[in-house]
Amino acid sequence: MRQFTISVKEYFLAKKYILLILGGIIGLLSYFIIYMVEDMNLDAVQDIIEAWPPEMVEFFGDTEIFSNPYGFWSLEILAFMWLYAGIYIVYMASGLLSQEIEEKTIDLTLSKPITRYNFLGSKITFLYIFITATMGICFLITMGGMSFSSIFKEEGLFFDRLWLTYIIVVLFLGVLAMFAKLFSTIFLATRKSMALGVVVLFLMFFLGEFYIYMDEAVQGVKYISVFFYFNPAEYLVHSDFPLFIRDLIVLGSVNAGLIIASLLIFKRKDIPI
Amino acid sequence: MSNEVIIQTNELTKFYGKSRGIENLTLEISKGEIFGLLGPNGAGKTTTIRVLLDLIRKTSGEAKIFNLDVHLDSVAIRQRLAYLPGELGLFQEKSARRNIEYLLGLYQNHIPNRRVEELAEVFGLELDRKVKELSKGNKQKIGIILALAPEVELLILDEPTSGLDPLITAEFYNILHKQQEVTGSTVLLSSHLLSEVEKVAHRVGIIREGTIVEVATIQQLKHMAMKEIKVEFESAKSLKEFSNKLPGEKIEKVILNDTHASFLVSREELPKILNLLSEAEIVDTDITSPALEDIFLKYYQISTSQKHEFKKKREVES
Repeated sequence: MRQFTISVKEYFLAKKYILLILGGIIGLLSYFIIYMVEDMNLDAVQDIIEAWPPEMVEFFGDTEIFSNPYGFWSLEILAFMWLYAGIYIVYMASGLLSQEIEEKTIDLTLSKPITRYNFLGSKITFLYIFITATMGICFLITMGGMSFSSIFKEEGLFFDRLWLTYIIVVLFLGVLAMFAKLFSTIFLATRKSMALGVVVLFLMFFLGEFYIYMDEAVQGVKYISVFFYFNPAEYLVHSDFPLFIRDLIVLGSVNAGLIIASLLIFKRKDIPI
Repeated sequence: MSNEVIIQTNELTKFYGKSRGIENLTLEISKGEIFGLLGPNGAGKTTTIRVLLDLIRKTSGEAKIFNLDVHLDSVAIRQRLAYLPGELGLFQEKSARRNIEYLLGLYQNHIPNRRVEELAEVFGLELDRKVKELSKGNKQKIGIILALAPEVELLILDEPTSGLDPLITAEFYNILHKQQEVTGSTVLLSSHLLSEVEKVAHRVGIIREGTIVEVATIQQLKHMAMKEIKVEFESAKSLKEFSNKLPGEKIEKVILNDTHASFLVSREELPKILNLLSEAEIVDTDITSPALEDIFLKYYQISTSQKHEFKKKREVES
């Protein structure tokens, strides 16, 4: 356990500034959106949305989401979190193991009394800590912004819903990171894992968000995309708790499955020279 | 040295797909022994070490350290050993001190900082400089400190002095020798330079094409070596006469010019040759043992069948 803690601490110290910068930037962006909502006529936005084709409205959720400050904020920030934070997290997850192999630091580390589960487990734990902390900073700034926003205060400060959404965001980004981590343990090469991680990310985005434009017979492919199980606007606007529970279970299970697969694969891998 | 076996491999084989890493490698290293593993690049030295450290998995055979399986009990084994890899990878953005603290912190027991400071002073290493700012030699010093600082029962050193200047190399071997005498630890030292290994090793194993072809003490190796006799004859005629009397198939001769010749002779044949020389008309003679490096290289010139014949002969003799 001591070795595990030392390793996690070491990764954390190495990335602490990136964590603060990433969390801070997304948080400020979120604050800007809250500030923007303050001066917007959301009813007018709803009128515009109602003129859209039904498929397009369904793509974003429903018209009510646009006219709700939480819904609008969610569409601008959380729906694009895969872009703001996801790609960097995929990049980091792909390199966290394979860079140690490419730079040969793994030889010294694994020649010490540390198990492979411990070694990879500490990296995975660090990834979750990174995601949790980055999103934590972002959500704290957001909550601060909402507390001062008259439109959010008028709607009601639903911080309980926000915390539930926060959990889902962490799990969602966790899945993206764990896919990259899995590729990294399979190929032990940063570029390949990164490329595959990004391809999977975009593929899932496409399947999870654009399935409504596909033929009805193949729309079932949406279930294999994690984007389908990421519905922050629904939890925030409609307080859809059953949907939250479903997404929590699915995303949690996918995370667990990917972690177990990564650990088992790495346990059997030869460390290349 | 005691009879307790620390490293034991039996028919150990590792294939990377279809290409050979090591094949049927059998080896025993006793407690307190400094064992030199010699071979050129690609012979299988690093593969052997990496299997022993459980960084790669064997294809077949058996490997044990401290009588524990290198795969099943790898953590318990690694708690009792220190390793210096051939290609040292360090965390470039961190200082030398941070690298050392982190890596030594992975041992379950605390390693005193005083020991690290002492070694850094001996090797003249600035601990607070970032690794990326250090020269190759200074980076290697970090690796050496990482290997020598913990008091472990087994040291595995893969090309430990690569990149070091001769003075630091000498200092390293000096410290290694002293530490080994005090702690009685076992050392497995891999190198392609026999001249380095011969200074400290009790025994050497010569590895060729993934297999150990010879295990012997330095003295035994020297004993097995051919003697080189350089002779200056009075005339070309006396050289020819002497040359005709030689048992041709057992002696390798090189005629340098009309009156000078050089002969490579085994220890067994040496008395006969000296007898013949006493009867010959000679001006000067010089008998030398070839450098150990030449003996080592000889192992890489003989064919595989010769190698097996040689091994059989050695077994019968012993």
